[in-house]
Amino acid sequence: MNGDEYILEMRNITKTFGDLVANDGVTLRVKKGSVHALVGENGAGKSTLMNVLACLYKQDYGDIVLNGRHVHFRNSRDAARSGIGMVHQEFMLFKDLTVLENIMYGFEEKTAWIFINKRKTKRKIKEICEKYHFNIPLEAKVNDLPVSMLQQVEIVKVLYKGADIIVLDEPTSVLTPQGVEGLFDAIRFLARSGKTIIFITHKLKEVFAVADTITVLRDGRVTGNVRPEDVNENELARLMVGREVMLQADRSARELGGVFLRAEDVSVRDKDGVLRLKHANFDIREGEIVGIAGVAGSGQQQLVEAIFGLSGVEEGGKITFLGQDITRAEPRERRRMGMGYVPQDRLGVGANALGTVWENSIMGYHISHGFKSKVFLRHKEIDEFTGRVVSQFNVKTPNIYEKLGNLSGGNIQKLIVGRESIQDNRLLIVEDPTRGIDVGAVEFVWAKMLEIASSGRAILLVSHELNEVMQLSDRILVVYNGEIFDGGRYQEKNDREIGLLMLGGGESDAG
Amino acid sequence: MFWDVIGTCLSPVAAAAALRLSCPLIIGSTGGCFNEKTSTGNLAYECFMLTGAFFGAYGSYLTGSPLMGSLLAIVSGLVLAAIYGVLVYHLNCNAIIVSVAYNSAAWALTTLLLVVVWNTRGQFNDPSIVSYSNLEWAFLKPFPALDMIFNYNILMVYFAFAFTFIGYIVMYKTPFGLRLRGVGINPDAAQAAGINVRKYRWICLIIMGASMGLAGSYMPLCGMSLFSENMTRGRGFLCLTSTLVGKGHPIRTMFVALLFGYANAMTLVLSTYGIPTQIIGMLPYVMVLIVLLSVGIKNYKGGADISGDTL
Amino acid sequence: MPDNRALDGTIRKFFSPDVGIGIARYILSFAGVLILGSILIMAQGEDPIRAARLIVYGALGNLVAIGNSLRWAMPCMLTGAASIIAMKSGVINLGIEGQMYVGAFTAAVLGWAVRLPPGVHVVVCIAGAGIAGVAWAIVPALMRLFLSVNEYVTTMMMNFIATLFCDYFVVWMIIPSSGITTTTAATPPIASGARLSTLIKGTSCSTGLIIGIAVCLLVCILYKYTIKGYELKQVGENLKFAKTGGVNVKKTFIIIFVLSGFLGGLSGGVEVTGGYYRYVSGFSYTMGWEGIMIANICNNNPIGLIFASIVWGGLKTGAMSMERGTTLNRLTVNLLQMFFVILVSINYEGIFRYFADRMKKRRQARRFLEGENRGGKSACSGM
Repeated sequence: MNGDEYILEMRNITKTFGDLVANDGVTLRVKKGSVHALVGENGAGKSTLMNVLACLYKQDYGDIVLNGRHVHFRNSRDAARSGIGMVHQEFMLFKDLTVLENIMYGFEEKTAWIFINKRKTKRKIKEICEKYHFNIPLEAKVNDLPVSMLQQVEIVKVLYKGADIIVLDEPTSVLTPQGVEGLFDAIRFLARSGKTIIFITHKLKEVFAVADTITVLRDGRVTGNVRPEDVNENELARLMVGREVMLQADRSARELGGVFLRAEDVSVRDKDGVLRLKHANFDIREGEIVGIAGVAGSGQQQLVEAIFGLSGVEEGGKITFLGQDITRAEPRERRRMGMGYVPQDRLGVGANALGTVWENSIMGYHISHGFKSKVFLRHKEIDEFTGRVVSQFNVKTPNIYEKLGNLSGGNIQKLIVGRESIQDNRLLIVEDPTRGIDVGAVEFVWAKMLEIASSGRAILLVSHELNEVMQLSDRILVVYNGEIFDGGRYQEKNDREIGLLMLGGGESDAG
Repeated sequence: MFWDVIGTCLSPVAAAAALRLSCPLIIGSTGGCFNEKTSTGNLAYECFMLTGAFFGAYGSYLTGSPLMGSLLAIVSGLVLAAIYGVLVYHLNCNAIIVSVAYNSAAWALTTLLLVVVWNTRGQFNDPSIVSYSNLEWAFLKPFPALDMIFNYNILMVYFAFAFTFIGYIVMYKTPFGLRLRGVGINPDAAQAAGINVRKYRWICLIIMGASMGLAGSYMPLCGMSLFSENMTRGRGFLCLTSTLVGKGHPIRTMFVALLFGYANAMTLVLSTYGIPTQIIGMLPYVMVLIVLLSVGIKNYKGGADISGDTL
Repeated sequence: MPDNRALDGTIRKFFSPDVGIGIARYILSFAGVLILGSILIMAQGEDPIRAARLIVYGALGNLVAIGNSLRWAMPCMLTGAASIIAMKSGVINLGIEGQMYVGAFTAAVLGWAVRLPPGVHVVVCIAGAGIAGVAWAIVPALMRLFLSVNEYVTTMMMNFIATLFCDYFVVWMIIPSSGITTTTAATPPIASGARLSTLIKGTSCSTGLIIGIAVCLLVCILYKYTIKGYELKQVGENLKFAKTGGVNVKKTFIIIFVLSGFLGGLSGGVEVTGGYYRYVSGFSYTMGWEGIMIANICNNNPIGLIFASIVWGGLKTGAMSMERGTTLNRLTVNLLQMFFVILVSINYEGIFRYFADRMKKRRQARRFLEGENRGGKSACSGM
């Protein structure tokens, strides 16, 4: 293989975080002047790989070859000097500084060795803007600008730093369709001008729109190096989401009862004011498991937060639960009415690592179910309830007074799922219930969930494992870009069809 | 009576007193701006200042030169800041607890030093503590009001304004200043731009310690030639407050410090008219609350979000 | 057997590495203080052992000494409890000092100006003090809750306002109207019916000590046995967890400020009714701040607080005896106390983890390299 034609080679990059292997011997070769798409699901290791490249993380093992030479960056400034520019998914901007200051930060032009040479810097930035057709107000403060403008600022910033290789980490997730078009124009133009673009995404349409070559990552490994003209959307989706082990859930037919929860025209904005969930309408019925499939960041987070009352619903939306309007109710109220929640972020939201096992297991129960006394904790009841969670869900803990932080991730996950399941909640919202637990435990949790549903309760299942959603759900909803599409009833559509919907490939049959 | 009070408030005497009283506040809070801009979490202003006051007096006592006194005060501030930095940045102490302990220890430390060095309690008054001498500018003589306000001040008063100006230039006109402001706003972004965040925090902490020490040395060396227990009497907290209200902008902070100095002067001036000093003394603090309140109301976005950022 | 399980838990808890590090941090800090103390004392030309003996004797030597030690432990318990309530829930209440002042002032005014039957009078004074403390704490609470103004700045400002506010009333309202002449800025003594009874004769150790211990125990019960306490703790340890668990976070925040302010005010009230019998300007020195530090020393454990406060009070009285018996100044002890506070607050666990982690990484790297030497060839040929 002739190494000269590649501007960048990353060989056998391995990076672990504790027990998690984020990149496992990943090799990436990028040609000069090309637009190279790096695709994969969330958690596939795309961002980690690029952070290694930008020297924000140090790889455990592996080499980076830039322009045919081995490089070892000491810090991210070093990487930037060598021509690697990264536009992060979350913009790395200083909100109280002007655009000009943001662009030159860390790479200032100086006069008399001491002072910032504002005029020279400005001229340089203006030249870049003219050359690459960007139009940004340099004196404006960053917080006054719209998101699409901030992205331009980020791109100009890396160009100003002299980047030859520009990494764009999921650049379209914050943009409107028009903004995406503008960005693609800019990308094509940059590539024509000799810059190399590495484009991280999980949206298939975008890949086919701009990419010259595609590298697919799954679970920290490369699963394919292809050219867009050689594959179609189906094949690419398969490379991205395909699973070797297909677990089967043991399920029996169930009677569906009345409507438990109804969401009408629910829209949610995130804290930056971007509309992340658009006019969602759906029902959840008694005894039903409704599965939500979608690539991470498509709006499922907002959907769950709206239903559980963690973020506000836009004007006009309405959520009814058991016949009552709960659009503006606090989580406490919803808990009391019998709503349970297993959050995705188990240590950040789902559990308190500093607390004991029992403290973690009674959270929510103390409201939804309550103790005999309104004032005092009844340790007998707590012991009994915690014991039930621990024994029924096989939580491996020395005793219930152990600090939760000392338990393994899988056990914490089982504790959270157990806590919410045993509370006799009418509706259980579950996010990624089997993330990070072993195969045996997965089957166990699945069986538990089916059991819950058949006992006259309902489950809203949000999972990034497509197989999980397909196995468990009576009805599948697919979110893509904040909109909800009908994924059919159980086994009505196969995984490829749903995978395509998740990646925005089949908008025609939106329901 | 009313017009007398107003007249006194606006008189050159009051202005001159305000200028002198706000000098240490200006020097200290300019250093504090660096601290504030990089969010080091350091609240131990009072400690640095009181220790600076002692060492200012001690240095002058030993060498007979007020400049050496100030130098020793700066060194004391540096040493305290260095210890603080090691504790908070490297040993992961809680910044607030360390600050509280620092502030509480300062009184004990300086009083103990007073006893050990000069074998006295309360205060030490000795001609060997040489103060700065007043500077005289002949060109101000023809203008009585200006003469009264700006003439016959010690070097440090003029230096205070120069220092603020230098602080402003460094913070807003140099790459160093730009980077340190960035560190305070978004440490992650600064890290991504290849800035060593901890290094910048260290530098700003050192600047703050040195300038607070220098500010402390103003008190024994401004003409009184004495050191007394708890000499700073909360001036360190005033420095902290002015940096907070001025949001770390040196010029804005200087005006806040001047205002505090003015309020301080008023307590001296107005008490002769029978106006309670406590009420006047309360003004700066009430003012701070009002400023914070108005900023809060301006940024009010409807509901309250506990987990959100606080001012 | 639940009892067995509890015992098992206690034993495990006792031998877990966390507790080991916890004990180590006290031992290390104490050793550090001993070393620095010896140096400090020897630098002043005195014998450290004699000084230490005088401190212990002065704190525990006889009944009066013990009484005085307990008297100074009293405010520490209350201010410490106020701090624990705030800190455990992640609120930084630096305004305990100010809450204490307004509490003391309220108690002094109620005790002097109002005529009530003896038993009731004390209760009214102390309750009034607590309510004044709440009033003082509620301003920062509302600003934090509705305007997101950081509470540590506002509580600190409220301290200064409190002292000046009380002094203003004392100097300009109460002293002129009471017709007494005094050289210190202080209110007239409170009525005898408004005083807490003395526990140990010849000292000012009053029933306030019992209030202090009772408050510590109540705080302990609050956190250990009540649902509200459970929620307060979860809010402090993981706010998002508590919020999704259904805890009403806004209400909880108000409760924290109210409780903390109440205890701050109470400490002032007890100081007046059980110690000074009047409001003296600047009486507290730094008691409110000390509460924050003691709470930190005992790691926000209310039972530990009782002992830490007694030690703290003992050091205060012991230091005075040391000052009488030697040429040393009692502030030496004060300085050492602060030094202890700082040493205890060092994150030994973090340092331990850091080194343990580095060792682990190094071991892993070695194993990885060894593995690579063995398996490297095949990986290359596979390409």
